Amino acid sequence: MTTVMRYSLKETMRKRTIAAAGGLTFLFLLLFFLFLKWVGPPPAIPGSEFLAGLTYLYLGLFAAYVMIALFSVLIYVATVSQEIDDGTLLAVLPRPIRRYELLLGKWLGLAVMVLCYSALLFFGLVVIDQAQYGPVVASAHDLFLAYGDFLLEGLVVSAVTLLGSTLTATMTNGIVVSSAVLIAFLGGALEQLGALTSSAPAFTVIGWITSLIMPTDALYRRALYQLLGNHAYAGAVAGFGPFGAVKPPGEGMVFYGLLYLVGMLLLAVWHFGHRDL
Amino acid sequence: MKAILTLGLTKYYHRRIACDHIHLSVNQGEIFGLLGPNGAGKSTLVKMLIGLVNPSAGSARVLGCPLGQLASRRRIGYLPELFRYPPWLTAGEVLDYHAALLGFRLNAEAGDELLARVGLRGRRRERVRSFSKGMQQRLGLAVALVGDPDLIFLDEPTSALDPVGRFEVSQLLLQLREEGRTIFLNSHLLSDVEKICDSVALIDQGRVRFHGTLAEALSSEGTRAYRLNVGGLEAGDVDLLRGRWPGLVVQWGRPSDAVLRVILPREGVPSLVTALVERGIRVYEVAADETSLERWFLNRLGKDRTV
Repeated sequence: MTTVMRYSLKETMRKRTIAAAGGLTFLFLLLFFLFLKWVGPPPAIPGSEFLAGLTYLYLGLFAAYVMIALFSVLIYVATVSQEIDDGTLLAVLPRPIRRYELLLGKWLGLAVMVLCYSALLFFGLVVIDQAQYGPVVASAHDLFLAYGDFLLEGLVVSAVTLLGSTLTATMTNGIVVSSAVLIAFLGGALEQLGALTSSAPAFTVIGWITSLIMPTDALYRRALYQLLGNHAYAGAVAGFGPFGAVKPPGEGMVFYGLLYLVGMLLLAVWHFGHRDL
Repeated sequence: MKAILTLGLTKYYHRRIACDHIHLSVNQGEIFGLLGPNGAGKSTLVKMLIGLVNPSAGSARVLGCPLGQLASRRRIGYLPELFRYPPWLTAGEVLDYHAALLGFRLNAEAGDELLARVGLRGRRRERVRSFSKGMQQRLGLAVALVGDPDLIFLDEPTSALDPVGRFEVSQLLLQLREEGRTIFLNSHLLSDVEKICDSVALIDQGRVRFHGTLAEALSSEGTRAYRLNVGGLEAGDVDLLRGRWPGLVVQWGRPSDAVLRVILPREGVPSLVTALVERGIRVYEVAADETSLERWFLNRLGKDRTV
């Protein structure tokens, strides 16, 4: 498994995936930094620094949420399907390696990339935002819990995409998983909107359903809550409507996310282990 | 012990049967040729033997082990028909990767030696993306040889090679046989199969139509194709000869120097030569056509046609 993992990482380096992803992330963070510099300090009203810091951090984290999901889809989308089409796997699988070792080796190798990418993006945004507006996050503990949710979001997407890669063609897989992430966001946004504006259960129900199908959005809202739930500004998690976390998912969602991740990996292993190549 | 023994190996894809109760055996240390038209079930059979496809029924033993066992897979090399190694790796890294999967580290010298053996001397540091199709096929052969396998499955190993490459690979396969390795060759190039294989099996529509030695295959046919290099052929000679030997054709040439091709039993050759000489035609050479396996192949499949 470690051999496959090592070669998966080597592949990302040789294909310049790391260089491209790292370069673009730095560019994104640079633009975020320049934007905060150019937009200047907020009016000298008490609490306005908090509010500005929160607003821009929300904005940045929403972009990070989308980018991590897309990154995970793109680096995993061809993992198995493309290698079957190319015949690469046909030469490898007759070797004395079990299929689950190959699949999990590939997943782990690329998961290191997801971990680095999400860490760079998440901590980069927080550091830049706090450098400009002072402490926004209540504690380092909250910060790492929030990062854990962000990372889990990326890993959940990676596991679903890996499963899709064992089931279907590369393009179909990419479209299906990207759409699922988008639908999860829309469901989550409706749930937040419902919490702010309506007591109709439809808002909540649709949010639950989409979160169960694809828990990425719930994990994102949970991360926002971890980050800002204890904020000095009481309306921090509710102040951004459908983009905020007025009704944050509980801890159970994190456990569900973990179970979902393991479940998807097991399904991928099971299906790949039984399929004819 | 047989290198491969299949007992009623069967594979269905939904309702379509790809392999229908295949009973085969391959002796250790021989070159075995698996023949058959496109879609006959050859690749499915190979894939079942190396664990890429799960059989629907039947069983098989490869190097004494049931299908898919890691113990037998350690002793197997495989060159797929359609494959592409990661273009971002060097040839040496491809070999290293496969060695690592086998659980050992291939040193640079051994890697160079393997590449030299398949005609890629000095190419270890070159990226696969710079390789031509033929070079990739040679690299595939080198990969199949990583770990000194006892049994090597080769699926169309010379399809992308030029005549020199095909000859070199044929020589390599003969060397490998001398070393005591068993080779399972799946190829459409019947002239190559005829030159190097000890035994063959013919599969059509998922069923084994013939299984035996190459000599048995060719002798079972009774007739062979012969080429006759002749001179002094005159207009009307061919039509006259065709009256007695309907399949006789002029393959190429001019009256002074032509090649005739005819299919007939071995016993019929002297009377043909006599008839030619009696008509004043000079016979320089009579040779059994090297593609007689092709004739056998077509006859066996019921697709005989006058060549």
